[in-house]
Amino acid sequence: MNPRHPTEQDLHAYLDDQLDAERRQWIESWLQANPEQAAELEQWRVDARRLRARYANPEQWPDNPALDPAAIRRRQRANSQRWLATAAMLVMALGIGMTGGWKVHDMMTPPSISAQPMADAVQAYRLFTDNVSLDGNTTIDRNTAIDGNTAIDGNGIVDASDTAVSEPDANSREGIVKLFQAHFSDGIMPPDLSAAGLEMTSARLLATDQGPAAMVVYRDRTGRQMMMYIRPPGAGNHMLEPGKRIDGKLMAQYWSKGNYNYAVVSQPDDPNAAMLEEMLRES
Amino acid sequence: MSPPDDDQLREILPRLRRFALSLSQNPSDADDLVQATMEKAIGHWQRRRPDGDLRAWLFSILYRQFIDGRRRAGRYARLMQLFTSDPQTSASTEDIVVANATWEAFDRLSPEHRALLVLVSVEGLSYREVSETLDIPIGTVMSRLSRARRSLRDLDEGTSGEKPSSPSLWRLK
Repeated sequence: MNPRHPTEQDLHAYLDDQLDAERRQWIESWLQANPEQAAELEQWRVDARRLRARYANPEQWPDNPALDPAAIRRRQRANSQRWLATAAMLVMALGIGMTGGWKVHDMMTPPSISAQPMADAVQAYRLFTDNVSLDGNTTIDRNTAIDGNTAIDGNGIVDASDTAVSEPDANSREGIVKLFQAHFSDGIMPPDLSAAGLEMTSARLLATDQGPAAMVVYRDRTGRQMMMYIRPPGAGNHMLEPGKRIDGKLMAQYWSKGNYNYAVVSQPDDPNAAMLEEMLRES
Repeated sequence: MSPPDDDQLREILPRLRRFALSLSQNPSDADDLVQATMEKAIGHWQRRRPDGDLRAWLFSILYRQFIDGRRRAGRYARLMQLFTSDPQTSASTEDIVVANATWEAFDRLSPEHRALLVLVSVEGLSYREVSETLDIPIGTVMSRLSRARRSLRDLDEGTSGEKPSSPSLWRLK
């Protein structure tokens, strides 16, 4: 049963068409008997109309292409690629350190092609900047697997288009496992971290002078990325003392185990990185 | 959940820009706010409730972005600088102007009251949707709505005989 007088909130709900038919009719009757309140409500109605008029037809406002979803996605992809390129440079710089004995005078004298200490860095950077296909959701690039021993051209740089080889379908964790079995048979597999909300978004094989290396990128639910990196030890079977280095906004943790050197690259404050490192080191 | 449908997002875009403009009161800042909202929506699509209303979800992201930014920056002008780190992708104030269709009384309301009035009176959201969008109890929606309308009346009657203005138009410079 309705009270004798509607509350003010009832009147607003009436104005905003939020009442059922019965209550609506009750208020209409009450307003007919209360012209002062009816006039006040009418003024609110005028205000609402005026507001609608003020913000009418937003679809006719000048277009802003930057707001288009496709443009937003393109920018997000570009940011992701920039992150990966930076990460790649960081681990490749680490790779140089892994080879050991890199002295300043080595930079000043032309080394033999096969021994160029930066060959893998250049290749990786080129792959990541010229041939990246990350869209953040699905991409496991399966066309960039490279045989590092046979594909280096006269400049020590791999041309991916000439050297892409057939690889297992890596659009899945199973595919990545097969890739690792094929190239890092005695190495540590990238762990499945889906239970922790981390998705493997891409895996990529890279060439080094000592054989294939690989990067596996994980992404958490907030879009934050981290990367596992595996590569053969450098010349002279150089193994790494465990350590970490921070380069700008990225941190690399690295160590050696078995026949490989490993690194985890992440944002310095990413708690997932410690988890990944621990899992890899304890595997 | 399937990735966002661009056409769906495009369809809602004008309404997002309108809501953002009502909060920011500046077209360029409003578009920066919308851009930040779209980035977040696309990046966090998995968190969306499958049965939820897309428009209300986007409005809630936009409103949170606005409020969070306002808290961080202290002042609205400083907030918007946070979203303009990439000047090539934000709308240029030189390209867009708003015609002189002002409503001073409305502009002087608090952002919370402006958001409420726009969502209810312009967007036609139900009180429950508004409650979810602004993350406040439905009882607060109703009492705040009452206060907002009274404030608007008081401010409007306090202004110097301003006539209702014509609809706001955006035009190219």
